[in-house]
Amino acid sequence: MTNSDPSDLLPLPVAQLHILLALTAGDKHGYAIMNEVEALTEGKATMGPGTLYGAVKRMLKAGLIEEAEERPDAELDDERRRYYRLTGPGARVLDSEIARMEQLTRAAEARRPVAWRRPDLEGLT
Amino acid sequence: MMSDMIAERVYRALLAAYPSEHRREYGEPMVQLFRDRMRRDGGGFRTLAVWVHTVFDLVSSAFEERKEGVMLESVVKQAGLHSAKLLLWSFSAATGVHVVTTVALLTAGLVSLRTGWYFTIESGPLWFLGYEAHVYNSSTSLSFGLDLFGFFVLFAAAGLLIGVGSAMRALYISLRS
Repeated sequence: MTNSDPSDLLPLPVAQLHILLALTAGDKHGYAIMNEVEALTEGKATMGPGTLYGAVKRMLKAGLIEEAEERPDAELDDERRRYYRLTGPGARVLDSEIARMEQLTRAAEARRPVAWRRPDLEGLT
Repeated sequence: MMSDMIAERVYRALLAAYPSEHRREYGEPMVQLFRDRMRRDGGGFRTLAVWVHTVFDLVSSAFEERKEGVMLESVVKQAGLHSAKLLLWSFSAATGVHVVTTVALLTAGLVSLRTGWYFTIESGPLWFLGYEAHVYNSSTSLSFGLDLFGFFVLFAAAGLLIGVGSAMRALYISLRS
């Protein structure tokens, strides 16, 4: 994965995008990722265990994330929890995905119904 | 709390929906996440909402994991192999039935020559498709017909059915693994 083109993995599935975004703030375990995703989406998306760990499995395989060996606070934390970390390739893929979404947003913005200014479609906006 | 323990046990049992490899690797973290979620969002009617979300999540993600685990190509190959074997078996069985009945009818025909019964047998160029055989008695106008046409088709249909059954079985075994 390290040498491959990040755009090969685009567009990222929503769950993978959310996890990558959640891990930009530092290493996290499953529950912390779930909380971070909820915060990112203003409570609109709650990842269930199946979706989260299914995405984690695929992302580990693709090298987008890795299991972190050291724990942020080993004293206070449950040692059974697994922490995940964003990798270099994962960061590059995330960057490409954000660029892709920006481009799409620009294209979509130009086609927003409020921007059409077509009299025949006035009633739709 | 007792209800949390029961919920955890139920969720643990539901994990059987995932492939065993996925369960071994991620079963415990998934139970841990479910436990955390129940502690945070559970209680009263909200527990029901957590369960509904969890079950939807489980069904959709288990399907995804299963879909990846199923070697569709191998299932198709296996079904193809079974179908080919069964087609050969059908052809052989139809041939066997043909030979046996021909001998039986020829014997009957020879007997009929002595008793005033007449015997006819009709077969097309594709002999394995079947044939028609008739015996009749001109003095009494008694007639018996035997239409064996379609034996091969019958056996081929049976072969195809068994082939489809084998494919379904292969798929089932693949899903259970």
